[in-house]
This record gives sequence, structure tokens and C-alpha cells, in this order.
Amino acid sequence: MDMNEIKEIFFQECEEQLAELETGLLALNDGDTDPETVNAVFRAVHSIKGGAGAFGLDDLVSFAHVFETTLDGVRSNKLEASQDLLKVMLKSADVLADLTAAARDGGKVDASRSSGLVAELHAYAQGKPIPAAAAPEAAPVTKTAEPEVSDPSAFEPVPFSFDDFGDDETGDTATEQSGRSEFTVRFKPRSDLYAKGNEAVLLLRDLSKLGDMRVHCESDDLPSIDAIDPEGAFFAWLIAIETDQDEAAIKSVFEFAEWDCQISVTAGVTDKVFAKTGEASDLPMAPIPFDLSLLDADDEAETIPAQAAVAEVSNVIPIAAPAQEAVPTSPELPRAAKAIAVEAEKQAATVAAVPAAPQTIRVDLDRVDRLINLVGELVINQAMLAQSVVENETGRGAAINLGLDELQQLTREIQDSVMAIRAQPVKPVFQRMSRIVREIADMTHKEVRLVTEGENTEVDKTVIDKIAEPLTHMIRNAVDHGLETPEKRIAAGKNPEGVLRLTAKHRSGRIVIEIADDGAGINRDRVRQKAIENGLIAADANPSDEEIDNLIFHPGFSTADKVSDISGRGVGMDVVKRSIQSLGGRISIVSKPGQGSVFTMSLPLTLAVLDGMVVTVANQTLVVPLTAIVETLQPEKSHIHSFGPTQRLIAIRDTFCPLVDVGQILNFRGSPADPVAGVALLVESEGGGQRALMVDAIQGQRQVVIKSLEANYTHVPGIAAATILGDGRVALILDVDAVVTASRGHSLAPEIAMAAVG
Amino acid sequence: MKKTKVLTVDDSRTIRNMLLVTLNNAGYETVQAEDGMEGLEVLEETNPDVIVTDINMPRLDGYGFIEGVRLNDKYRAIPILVLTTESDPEKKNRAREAGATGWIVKPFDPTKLIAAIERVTA
Amino acid sequence: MSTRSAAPQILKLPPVLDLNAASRLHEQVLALRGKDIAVDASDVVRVGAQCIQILLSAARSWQADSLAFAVGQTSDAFENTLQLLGISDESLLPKEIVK
Repeated sequence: MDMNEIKEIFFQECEEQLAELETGLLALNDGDTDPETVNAVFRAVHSIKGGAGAFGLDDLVSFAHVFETTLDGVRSNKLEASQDLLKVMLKSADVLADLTAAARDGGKVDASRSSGLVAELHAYAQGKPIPAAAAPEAAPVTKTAEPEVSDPSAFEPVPFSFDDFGDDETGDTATEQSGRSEFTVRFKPRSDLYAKGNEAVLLLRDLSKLGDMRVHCESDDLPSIDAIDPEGAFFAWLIAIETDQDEAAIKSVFEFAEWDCQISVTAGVTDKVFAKTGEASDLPMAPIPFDLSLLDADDEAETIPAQAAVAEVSNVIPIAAPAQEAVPTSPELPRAAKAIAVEAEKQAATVAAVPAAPQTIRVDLDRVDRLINLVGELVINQAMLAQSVVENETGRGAAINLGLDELQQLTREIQDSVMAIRAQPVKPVFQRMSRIVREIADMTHKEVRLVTEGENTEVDKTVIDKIAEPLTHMIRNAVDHGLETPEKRIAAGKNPEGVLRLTAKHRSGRIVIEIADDGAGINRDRVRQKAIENGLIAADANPSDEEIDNLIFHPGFSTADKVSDISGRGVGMDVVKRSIQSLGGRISIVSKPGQGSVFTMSLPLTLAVLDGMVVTVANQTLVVPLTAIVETLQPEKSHIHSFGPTQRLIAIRDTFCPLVDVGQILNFRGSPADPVAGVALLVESEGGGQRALMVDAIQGQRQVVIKSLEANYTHVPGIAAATILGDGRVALILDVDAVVTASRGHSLAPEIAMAAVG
Repeated sequence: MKKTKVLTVDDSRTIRNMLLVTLNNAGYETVQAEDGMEGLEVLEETNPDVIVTDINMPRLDGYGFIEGVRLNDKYRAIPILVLTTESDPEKKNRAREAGATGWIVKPFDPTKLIAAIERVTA
Repeated sequence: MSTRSAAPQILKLPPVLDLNAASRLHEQVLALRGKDIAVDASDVVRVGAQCIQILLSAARSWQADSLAFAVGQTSDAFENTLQLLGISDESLLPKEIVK
């Protein structure tokens, strides 16, 4: 372990503390009044400051210090955690995060940003908040630097270095030439000194290290053995010391003890007990010439000769059994000790009442991935084994099949457990969103409250890593386009503060994330107009509300009158949709005019395996993700209807659904297959509509391990990934949405072009 | 020769590692706990010669931890040094009232930490 | 003194005589009230000022009762601590090092 490793740990810890900080502040913002929340927030900042100080990260330290001071005011109830103050503190948390990142990755944080907040925080700490109007930007940098400097308790960082050992000798040699002087020290401990773990013997030992000393013990106050309090303090000392050190050095010996004793240090030695003339006589005074190292108990055990003679004496009284064996319930215990024992029991009871934090270990992600890969291979291997047993069916199959069933069960359980290792709550991503909301709300002058739910919903780490970006974009979009300005909201009879609700939950083996705003909803007239202008739909088309809403996912579509720097960034919702689809996810929107919009994205819990239906199409084996399939049906001739030149519909109960020939779309065959000879898979597509995918036959359902096609080959339109089946053959996993899109008249080709651009 | 055993109680991984490196370099045996509660829990099995504790900690803070040690019949005599960034006399005061033996101001200088430990141990 | 025939009670001190040992030491000494005591401090590796207070108080009380309270064997740590504390009371030091 070296400094760099510790620094690495420090930055990891900072991330956790920053998350903790934000969570706490947001909880306070939502009216949480639990003192422990404030404490946790304080601790987070405090901890960052402490570590930063050790590494000499001065910018971080000084900002954290001001922040901490204000938080301390809140913690000690000197300061009310008002909405305005919390706003400042949330911004400060953002700056603290930026300062931490700058300390780690290099770079600088805009000084005006932090200095403005420093001034605000400081003003709050002083009980004179700066009125909101005159807020941060207005405060000049020079002025804001002041309070920090003038703060008498200002925190001075001492950079930590392991090279510091052994440097303390220099001080001694420097003063050596200045000659020796004499001091008289009077020292009278109180019993508290001993009770707090200090010891007169050790203090005198340290004092003797400063020079030559003569010690006189005043024991006149010592009570008789019947009256003495064994834990009392009755000795006092008068010490004459000749040293090359100064008075401060002598006092510093008593630094820890000075509260619990009377101590005085005076120059010169005048007390009569030390009178020079009496030195040869029998004055009660003991010079200390012996080797002090003997007081260091460690070697004593070896140096003391075994005193066997003592052990032989029959009336030996073993006193003071080792302290560790003291029995608190012993009836002879003095009353005080009993009271202490009772207290200690109470203490023990409180200890037991608090549940222990779950134990965790940190594991290198590579190791987990390797394990996941191996388990993936195991799953495939098990499937291959099962298949070959089926193919070579022997008479004694029953036992083998039983074993195989168990193997399958075990393999599945191992796989689930291994996957669970990678599962993590979406909390960190959600936490990042609150900062994004604050920033955009600031930029757009909107008031937004972010409410998060289901933060502890777990999903595979790779999924978490990949949803941050689309989620960020959707959040930006929701604040920028979804919510109205406070004025418009008031005019519409709404609370000027808009609410953005971010929810995560598990639903049928997937994670569903919803972003709901209570804004104006999609302006369908404008979307339709824009779509017509952009040639996305015909001028005389009459799309349904749902279809209009889904137009916003169309490439290059933006309803903002000017391309906003915030949600724009040159990226449209189509990119969001594509990146979610590339994760095997779906996104949809439901909007109500005047009431807001809800974006719902559903994602697989893991990117490593999927439950699929294995089907045959034109002699090829394909896997269709089970999550996409609503139901399977055997088409009957009477249910197939032609529509237009090439289109066919299938009647399902009382609705018609377009029939999509997968073999034709993927160019596996030139002419359409006979629907009655195959099977139809009813799938739900992104746009909400249903399609019936025509395949030749269903082989069965199976969990498959996903192998990236891009990584091993290249992107193939209409194909999401590949897998290896039990018989060792490679099967392609169908990209249902791409196929459905292609069936709408778009060929698969534009997808390729888009993918190349994106 | 038996090494001096130090129990450190601090919730910060960074500080824990610094303490570990510093104390091990100085030839001490080091046992670490992550908060006051754990500190009290490991007291029995550790039986340290000296304790170094932080103040601000979750579950049980430094004050509570010190009081807990001082109320424990077996371990109440152990010297306890408080590690804290608070140079504030008020907080030092509270630590002393709880029964702290001495203190080290964070960020600590390794030399000073060792000197403080030596000062309170035999 | 010569009339006393019984051997003194041996008070064997434990290795560590810190704050925690003080009350027990006090009780043990009190239990020997009225008897001559020979203290064996040869195992002592660490002794605090409070236990020294008890021993010195006992020595004086025994002296007042005209009973013997003498330290026989000692360890270096025990003697060094006495010297460091400026205790030169002969009853706590073995005879041979007292003038």
C-alpha cells in the first residue's frame, strides 16, 4: 500500500460520500427532519475534507471547510435548513463534486462558481444570508475570498507524507547551543487524570526525557489505608528540571493532562527542597539517573529472573488476578463498580439493538466477468450434453435424465447467482439525475422538483452504465420541453414548481424506468405540423394521437422552436431510442395535453443472457427474445387477408394485425412463405402496435447466452446478436423492432445508414 | 517482545489506510474498526494497549464510543486518543468529558501520531 | 519484633498495577490488616501512581500499627517507577538499596 493507492481509495470514498451528501440534502429538501440525515450529510463533507487535507488538496479542503461550517450550524440547530439554504447547499454539493473530480483528473473549477457559493455559505453560517437577488454571480471574487482567510478557526491542511519519520531530531540540535536553563514544575493530578487513561508515571517519564530532573513527591495528603480511595489522586510533585528546551516544551508534556491537574512551570529553581546546600544531605528528593528504557515494560518479562522461592511459600496470596478476569457481577464489588456494570450492560443492549451492516467485499469486475463467461459456457455445455443424451436415447435414460434435470437446475441457479453479483441498484444513476435537473432548471429558469422512486431496483452493472446517457437526455428533454415556465404554470392554474418523477421497478424479468412530468404534454398540432414540414408524414395523413406522439422518436425530429443547447446538443429522441434498443430495450410515450408526459423504457436485467424462442426460418435457426412475444398462433387460411399488392393481415379474434414474413425481410428467401404452413408470433413493437411475425416452425424455448455479433463479426441489420445452441451451432437473435420497422415499408438499409452515422 | 497493539476506529477508508500504513511502519500491531459500535464489539477480542478514534462516525460516534470504553470494567483504563479535524476547543472539551486521554488533529502528521501514542502508552 | 514468630504474609503483586488493579490491591491489603506483610514486587512490569499511593498508604498505616510492611523482591520496573515518582520511602524499597 503506497500513497497512490490510498489516494485512489480516497477518491473512491469521495464518490460514495458525494452520493451520500446529495441523497441527504435531497431528503432534507423533501422535509426530512431526522437529525441523523443532517449528521450523515455533515459527515460526508467532513470526511472529504479530512482526506483532502491529508493529500494537500487545498482547493477541496477550503471549500469543504466552509461548507462544513454551514452544515455544522444546521446540525447544531443554530441554522434553519430553509429551502433557500438547501438550494445553496445542493449547488455546493455539485461544486464539491467538481472540485473532487478536478483534484483527481486535473483541471480547474471555475473560481467564480465556488467563490460565489463560499460567500453564500459563509453568510448563512454567520446568520446573514445574502438576499437571493444579490446572489452568487454578483459577489466579486476578491471579496468572497476574505471570510475564509479571516476565519480564525480556518482549517490548515497538513499534507501527509510518509517521509516525515525521524525528522523531529532537528529541533533538538538547533536549541542545543542556546544553553541549559532550570525550571520548577509543580504538578498535582486530579483523579480524573487517571480515569481518562493518563498516568502521572508516564508524564514524569516524558518530562525526564527533556533533561536532568530531581523529583520531590508530596505525599502528605495521603490518607490512611482504611480511608484511601484506591482510585483517588493524592500525590503531588515538585520537580526541578535542567533542560535545553523552553517552557513551552515542558508544558507540551502536560498537553493532554492539563485539564485534569494543577500544573505550573516557572523559570529557575528556588524551592527549598531543592536547595543546593542540602543536596548532600538526606533531603527527600530523588535524582533520576537511571536508564529510562527500563520503564518500557516490554522486555521486563524476560529480564526478571524467575523467583521460584516465592512460589514455594505456602501462604502466598495471589492478589489482583489479571484485570481481564474481573467479574462485574461479583458481590464484593464496590457500589460504584456495580453502577458501571449496569451502565455497561445497558450499553451492550444498545449495541445488540442496532443491526450490523451487511458485510461486503470488493471484487475486480474482470473476475466477475470471467466467472460469468465460464458459467455461460457451462450453460451451453449442459444444453449440448442434454441434447446428445436425447439423440442417443438408451434404455436406461431415466436416471440420466434425472441427473440432467438436476444439472440444468443447478446450472440455472449458479447462473442466476453469478448474475446477481453484477446486479447493482440504479441509485447512483438516479442520483446523478438530480444534479442534471438542477442545472437545466437553472438554465431554463424553471422550478423543478425531482422525485425518485425505486432507487434500489437492481440491474446488471453494464445496463446501469449504459442507461445513464439516454436517461440524462430524457431528463433534459423533460425539463426543457416537457415542463412549462413558472409563469405559464401559474397561468394554467398549476403549482409553479413542476414535478419530474423518475421511477424504477422490476416487471416480468425486465427493469422498467419511467420519467413522468406534469408539464403541458405533447403539443400534437405542432408535432404534426413539423412532421409534415419535414416530410415525415403526408400533409393529408390522419395519424392517431399515439402515432403523433411517437413521431418525436423519429430521426432528426425536434419541436423546440430553436435548437436548444440544453436538450438539443444536436441529439434527438431518435438517438435515445436507438441506444435503448441497442440494449435490448424499448421506449414508449404516453402524453396527456395539459397534464404531462410519461416516457417508459423497459430494459433487460442483464445483457448476458436472454430467454428466447428458438424458431426455424427458411432452414435457418433464429432466436426471438421471449419478452417481445405476446402469443404464438397457428394461422388458418380463413384468417389471412390480403391487403394491397403485397401486404397481408391476419385476423386475431376481432382485430387485424399485419403479417410480417421474417424470411423475406431478412432476405432468406425471395417469395413469401405460405402462412398456413408456418407459425405466427404475435409481437409488441415499439410504436405500441402489434405485428404477427411469420416463421416456419418453433423448436422450443431456451435461455441463451448472448454473444455480440458486432464484436465478433459485424452489425447485421435485423439481427441483435448471436448465440450458441446446445448442438454447437450458432443461431442469430432476431432484432424484433428492426424487423417490424422494416415491415412498415422501410427497408432494413436505412438502419444501416443510421447506425453508421450514430 | 510483544508489539504495542493499537485499535483504530474511523469510518473513512482513506484515513483507515493511512493509519494502518503509519502504525505498521512504526512497528505497531493494528486492528481497525469502522465505527464506534464496531469498536466496542471488537474491544474484547482485541484487548488493545491504546485506542485511536475518530469523532464523526455513523451508528455510534466517537463520544459515545469513548464513554462505552470508559464504562467497561475491563477496558476502562485504556488510553484513548481522539483523531479529529476539529481544532475547535468545544469539541475537544466534549471528547475530554467523554473520557478521551488525548487528541491528534487531522490531517495527522505521522510523527505526531506516533509521538502521541508513545506519550500515553507504557 | 523478635517476639513475633509467625512468618509474614506474602503479598505477591501482579505484573500490571494500573487503574484497574487499584481497587483489588486495596482490598487485598485491607484483608491482611493486623498481619506482617512482605511484598513481592518481582513480577511487576508496569505500576501506576495510584497503586503506589495504596502501597505507601499501607506502609504508613502498618508502621502506625507497629507491624512489618516490607518490600522484599522487586523488579527493575518497580524500583524505577518509585525513583521516577520521587518516592524514597524506605518501606517501599528493599533494604539493600536503602542507605
